[in-house]
Amino acid sequence: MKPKIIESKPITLVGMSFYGDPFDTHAGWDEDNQIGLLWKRLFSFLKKDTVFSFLAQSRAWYEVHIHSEETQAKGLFEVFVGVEIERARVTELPAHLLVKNLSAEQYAIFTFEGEEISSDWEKILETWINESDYQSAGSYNFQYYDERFKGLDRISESVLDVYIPIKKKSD
Amino acid sequence: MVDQVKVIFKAIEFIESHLKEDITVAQIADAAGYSLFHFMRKFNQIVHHTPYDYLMRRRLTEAAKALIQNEQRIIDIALDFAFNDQETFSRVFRKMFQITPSQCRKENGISFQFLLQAKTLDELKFINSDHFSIPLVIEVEELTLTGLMIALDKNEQKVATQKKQVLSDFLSACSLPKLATLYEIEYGLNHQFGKRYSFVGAEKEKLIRSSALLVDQTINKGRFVKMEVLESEMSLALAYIHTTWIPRVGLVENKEMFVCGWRYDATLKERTIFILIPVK
Repeated sequence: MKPKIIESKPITLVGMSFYGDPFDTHAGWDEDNQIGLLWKRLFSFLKKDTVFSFLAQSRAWYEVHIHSEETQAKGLFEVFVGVEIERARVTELPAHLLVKNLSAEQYAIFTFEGEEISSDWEKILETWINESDYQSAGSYNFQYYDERFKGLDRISESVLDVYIPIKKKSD
Repeated sequence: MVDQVKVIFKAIEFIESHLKEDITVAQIADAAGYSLFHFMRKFNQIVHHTPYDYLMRRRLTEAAKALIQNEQRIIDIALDFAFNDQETFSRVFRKMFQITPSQCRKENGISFQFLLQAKTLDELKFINSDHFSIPLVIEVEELTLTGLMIALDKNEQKVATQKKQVLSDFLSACSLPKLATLYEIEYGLNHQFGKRYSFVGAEKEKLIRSSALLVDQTINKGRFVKMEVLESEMSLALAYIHTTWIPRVGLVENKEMFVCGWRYDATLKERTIFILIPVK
């Protein structure tokens, strides 16, 4: 699979985070694993927040997987889910919400459709980066959900973009 | 699903051959040919442990066996199984077995039921079969039974013959109504008395004819984990409940006994049994 390479400005996100093994209670493709619960927690908070409830209407959502040494050793990830926000508004955010700054300048975007979304696409990403002229430019990747993603119950009609931060191997 | 079970079983085999090395979950995923994230999802779905939890419990189980079987210093056993120091080893050991490594050595052990043996392909197939249903936690009222008690041999191979014999003795010592429920209780799982006992009986008030040979036993009121399985799956189910399901849901076993029961019907080729394990 050949990804699209894009240049990007830094992306500022606001949302919520989970650290641990996302599948420690449930492992199915349902919404009840830790990531599903995290999304529910974020939506529930945003809908009730008096200042930032407008974010609940956002058309594009991000799920960021942040790796560390512990990720490799113990299978523990930080998973952050959120939405883009204007930088100027960051100081107004309540304590419940976190800010993530994704500073990479270049991304490879892989687009997965239908059943591909529930396949082992991370392996495709790993293989591509090992064989390409690029290397990882940050220990994270993110999934970008917009109107093309119809939900886990309509996965066959859905489209998902996955971004990995990259830079040229010679850089 | 069967193919995925086989791939995950490869990961189980990889773990088994590297228990004493400082391997990472990423290396295990690689051995299975999956990305780390996908592997974690699949492993959990198929084994019902997170990969790291499984690795730690397998190391601790083998370390517990080493504590009982040899006289190596505890620190050396800890280092052998890739723990950085004795303090960490003792803390996680206690978390899994509720006793410290030195107590384990002094009291000569932990009953085999609580040791997480390497998952076999049969066990993985069992927990991923279409008819598998997860255990339930239920409240059981006090129940008085009448039956026969025996001390079980230390040799596991003789135990099955002993249990068959005591069941046959019980059935000739009484008359049961059609489809009465038979109960088998096994005591002494915590090795407290150094012996295990087995009781076979039925509800006292339902017996049509009794005998002076029979003794009473009571199952005390309380919380139990209940699972229904085919008799041929009983040992797989017990291993699953004791070492996977109960730790996974965060319950603590009352390690004195467990019960299994079945409807007495001599015409059935294979009976469905229920297992009851008391929990705190």
